[in-house]
Amino acid sequence: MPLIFVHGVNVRKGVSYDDDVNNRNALFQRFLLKEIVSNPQKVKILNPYWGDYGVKFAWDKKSLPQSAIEELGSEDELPLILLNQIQLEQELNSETVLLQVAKKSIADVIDLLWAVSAEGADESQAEDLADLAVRAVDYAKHNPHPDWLNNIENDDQLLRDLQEEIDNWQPQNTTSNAEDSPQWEVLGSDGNWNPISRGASRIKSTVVSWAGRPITNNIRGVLKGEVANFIGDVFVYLSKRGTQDEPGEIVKKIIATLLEAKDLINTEDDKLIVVAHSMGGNIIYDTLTHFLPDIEVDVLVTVGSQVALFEEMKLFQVSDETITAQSKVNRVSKPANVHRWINVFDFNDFLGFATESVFQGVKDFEYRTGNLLLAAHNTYFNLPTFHERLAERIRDTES
Amino acid sequence: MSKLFLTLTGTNTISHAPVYVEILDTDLETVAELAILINNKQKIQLELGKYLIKINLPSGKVIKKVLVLEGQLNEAVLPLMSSTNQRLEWHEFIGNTYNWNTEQEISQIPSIWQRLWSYDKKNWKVERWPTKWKLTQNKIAISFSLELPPNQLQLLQIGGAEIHWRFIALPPESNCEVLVSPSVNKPDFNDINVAVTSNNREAETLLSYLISGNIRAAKVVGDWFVEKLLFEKSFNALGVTIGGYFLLKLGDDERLAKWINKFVNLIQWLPDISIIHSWFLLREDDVARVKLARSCLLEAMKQGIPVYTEGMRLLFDGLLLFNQDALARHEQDVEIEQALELIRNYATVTDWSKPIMTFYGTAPESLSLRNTGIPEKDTIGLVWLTPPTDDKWPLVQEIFSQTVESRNLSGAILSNANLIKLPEALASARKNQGVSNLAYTLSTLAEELPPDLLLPAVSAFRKNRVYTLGAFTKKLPPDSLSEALSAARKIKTEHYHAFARNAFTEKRSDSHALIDKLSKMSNKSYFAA
Amino acid sequence: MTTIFEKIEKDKAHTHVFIIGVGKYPHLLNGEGTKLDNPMGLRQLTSPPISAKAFADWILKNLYNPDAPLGSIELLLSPAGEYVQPQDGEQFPVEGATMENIKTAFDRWYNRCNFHKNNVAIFYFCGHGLEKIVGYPLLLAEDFGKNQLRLWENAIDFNSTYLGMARCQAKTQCYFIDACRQTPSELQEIQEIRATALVHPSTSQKWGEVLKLFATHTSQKAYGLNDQITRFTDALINCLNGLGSEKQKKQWLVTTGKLGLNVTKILEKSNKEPNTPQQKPEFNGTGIGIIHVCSKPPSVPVDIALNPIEASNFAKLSLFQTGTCVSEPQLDLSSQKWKDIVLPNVYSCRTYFPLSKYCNPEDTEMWVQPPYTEEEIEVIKLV
Repeated sequence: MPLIFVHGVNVRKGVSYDDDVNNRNALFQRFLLKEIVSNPQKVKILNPYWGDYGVKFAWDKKSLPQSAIEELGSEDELPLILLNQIQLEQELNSETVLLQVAKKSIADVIDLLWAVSAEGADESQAEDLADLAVRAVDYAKHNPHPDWLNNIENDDQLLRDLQEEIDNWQPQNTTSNAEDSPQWEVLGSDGNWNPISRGASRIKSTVVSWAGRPITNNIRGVLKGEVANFIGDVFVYLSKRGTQDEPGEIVKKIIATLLEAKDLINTEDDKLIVVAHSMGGNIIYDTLTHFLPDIEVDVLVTVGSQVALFEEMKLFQVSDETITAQSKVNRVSKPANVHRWINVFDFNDFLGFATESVFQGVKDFEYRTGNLLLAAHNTYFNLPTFHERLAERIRDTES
Repeated sequence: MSKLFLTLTGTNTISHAPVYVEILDTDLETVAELAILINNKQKIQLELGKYLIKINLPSGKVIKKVLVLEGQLNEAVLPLMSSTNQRLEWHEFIGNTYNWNTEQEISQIPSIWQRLWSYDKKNWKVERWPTKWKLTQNKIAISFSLELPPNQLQLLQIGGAEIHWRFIALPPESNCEVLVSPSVNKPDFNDINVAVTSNNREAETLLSYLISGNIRAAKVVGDWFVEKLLFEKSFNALGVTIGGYFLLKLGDDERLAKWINKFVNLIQWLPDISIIHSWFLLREDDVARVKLARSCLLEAMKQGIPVYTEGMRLLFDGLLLFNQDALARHEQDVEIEQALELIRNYATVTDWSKPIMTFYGTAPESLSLRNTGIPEKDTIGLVWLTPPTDDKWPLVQEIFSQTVESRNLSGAILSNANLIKLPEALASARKNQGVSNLAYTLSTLAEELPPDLLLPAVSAFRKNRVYTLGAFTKKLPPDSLSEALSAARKIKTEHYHAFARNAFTEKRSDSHALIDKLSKMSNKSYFAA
Repeated sequence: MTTIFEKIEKDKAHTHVFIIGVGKYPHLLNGEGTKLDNPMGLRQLTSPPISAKAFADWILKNLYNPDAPLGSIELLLSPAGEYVQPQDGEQFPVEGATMENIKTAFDRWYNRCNFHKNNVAIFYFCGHGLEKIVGYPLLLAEDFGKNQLRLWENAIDFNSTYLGMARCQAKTQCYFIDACRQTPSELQEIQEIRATALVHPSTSQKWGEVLKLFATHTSQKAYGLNDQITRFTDALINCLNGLGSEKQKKQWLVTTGKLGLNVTKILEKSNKEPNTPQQKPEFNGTGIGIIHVCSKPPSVPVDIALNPIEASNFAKLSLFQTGTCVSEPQLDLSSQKWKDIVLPNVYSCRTYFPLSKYCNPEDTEMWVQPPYTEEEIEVIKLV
């Protein structure tokens, strides 16, 4: 049973692309897929990459205002973006930044640490991190504001005690692995938390380097760049998506992956799941409704996507101008070849849109980060708690 | 008693390498252990009976064969290895393994570059890449041999787009073999494994036994090796070094003393020799010896970086000893402290798992663990091992031109695609340093280009006719001459003359036919010339 | 009290053993004491004290070296507790492996080892280990982390200690280090670490027969199962018991030259078992220093695989010696290999197939030697 992830805008192959894929795959296996199949490890996850066909800027976005340029390209955008999302009220202190976040919410500090740590983790480390994430997220769910935080003075102590708590925590509804495999102990540091320690160091360094300056200002530069990318990728897709007989490069890529996934379906693994982010949602909707309408998708999850907006603008190949809010049939049916469609958006993600008013048969879920700006848009899949909540939604819809 | 004539057979690549052989009787006691040279018949005296012959290869593989000795004379011929790739057989023999079963191909790791450094008593400098180097590649690994100048410390520097820059010491020999393969430990394109060996089969085999921890094997092979070393007149630096480490390992004071007397003053450029000398001196608790041992360690520091990791370890330990000795006497030994500080920095960037000194840095004296990429500003002496990819490195064209300019050429096969960039590269090269450099560049290119790419290259070299033709004299087959000349448009008469002269100078067997053609093309006779 | 055995005859050579097993670390993760702010991912352990006791048991019950009989054993365990002598059940209270106790016990051990040049010195450590510089292990005492201002004073600088042992007269020295050898990222930022050398290095470096045997390679981990003996100590004890021996003049001897090789072979073999983390020892041994003389030939594991593997289910195997069947290997269903444990010797392995689906016309000669013997037998499928 394969899972296809269709990425959104501004995804380009580079050092962090592989890290993102590894991290995302590992988290999918431990959260979403666990709700759908009995053996998530056996699921083949396909990540069709269409970034090469996306927008290219002839002057490398020199048209953006200079102040934005200076702030762009920071090596450590991610900690900055995430810290901004969390919206701490106090000024940040590099010795206690994690503690400040933890006191607001343990789930937030877990998301922050795991998302930053996953960058630079290889495939095997991503797997270990995801395993830890399962316990960590469950711990946070049952202990959102633990008492031991009151005795902590700095981030080193926080990491130490958090490690102890999570190591000793047994998630509910899971059995220990004693029957499956022996319990080994390591006569030294087992290294499981090394990526987390490195991630923590990165976060501290970010705070040190941005000391005294409000983070929000720095994010603006990042956001403008993101908007430019989004607009560019949309235009490129719409102008070059091609026809059913001659699909464009992006569509061809997605079709090829869908067909590859179809070949993997067998009696044991009989479900095809598609998760699409942002522009990926629009692309997959177009593909499933026009370019490859015969393929059956059991579960479609669109995240931070604009499918309803695009349908409102009648931009899809199958869009019917006659179906509007005022027409007799005033909502578009969910595609017949999609058995279940869940749409996730964050109120504060201004590129994420709801669908229920436009489409019939779709379930909207709001993932409220409580934080602002586009910054939320690209970080959904970095965050363990997002995966946990997505899994919860799937569980709820199944029941 | 019976005589057994035992021959271990192997290809030329491993011929005459010594192998440790153990012979057990049916009581499982070792009745003989000896070093046998491959492809040499060895006579062994044994009682009649049944024996197990255990051939312990330096790679760690053990070949077993049961023999029954029935008469006075017995003969056995045992084949040792069947390598799938003769070029890599020597590496397999001594245990420089790579993972045959990996799905990774070395060519999939892009933009691996390399260059050579040498030490001239005080400083490290980049060396020109030897013009003669042969590249062999299967999908998984690349191997090449290098000819090196004698009596000089040399380092091979390797880096890449995602490969951490490292230095590997080259054995003190005139020829060495390098094997580059994807690292078996990190199957995610993040690392490569570099193994270096020389063609000195005896010394390298002994080194492999020492590294593997098979001290029995090392002792048997080493005893034989050292006897030769101490009593033969001729010697080589590599053999002396390995022999010295062997004797130190065994604690053989008597032969170590002979080794010191014979070699220490003859090889004064190799730090390993000084280090071994130092540790020999430390084997006795004698004030004068200890003082001299200290001097030897400091001398080793001046001589450069030890070739072998064991040397680095002994150097570090030795400096530690003297430092702690001074502290215990409440004294300060400034020279030792400074040396220790420097070596400690090397110790933190050394790959201690490798037998030959391997450490990370941007230059031999600028150490760091995490540099990757291409040295954009400093490409002198750079050579590609795997082709660069344009996607990742927009400067590739510039690097290529700089590579051409610096008179080095990629070992990777030049594709037609690369040739398209040649004109730009040459245009860039042309602006620099005058004609002579350009000539050299072109002649170097001509040497390296395969014949089917010569004609496109000639088109690219349009304005550089004379050197082009001169350089191509050696390689152009007669039937492509007209085409080549047409491609080199607007050629002047005197250039035909030069070409004809070259044809004779190069002693081409078809020189008469060539000159006849030239004469007809230019309406001039060149035979007189 | 740490001396759990002492029997020294004047002017005679002996084997003196120093054993440390640390599982309790009050200042590390989940420790009972004041914890380090950054414990570097180091947790409490269960296997080291069990492993150390097992090693002590074996030494007491089995170690035999007529040239250097057992003279003394110093034992330190964390958590501190009781040690029960295996032979007579006598109980000894054993002190914790704090740095202070380690130094005191070490001094006693060193002085005994130094007393006679033909002594055999054995040092065993099982617990947490780190390396700042690769190849230079730091072994953590129980009270590591007690003082954040002098963090490393309760870590043993093994390399300096080893170099210091060059002063010791004992000609044969063995070091068994059962600990990890990784460098946590926190250590990479520290310029220099001054841990404690139990004896200061000497500029006189003359060594006799030495074996340094580490449970794992530099930068790698060492493992133990919860509440069980560690992989390395298990292999070490099995090898001391005979699997690390070789036959010399009709005796099975465990020597400094061979022990490391065979421990490595055993661990490498067990690395192939399912759900087993990979671990490969590293050793540096010279000479033919005798550690133990086996009282009887060792029992050697034998694995026989049939080719094709499907034939295994139809086969019966017997081991013959001079025409007599001495053993019948049994099929292990998970690995599909025939397994047995026999004395070292030359056997004929007969493979026969009652149902005649396959045949093997000739017996296979097997030379069974420690540490283990593997054989593959080609059989013919009958049409």
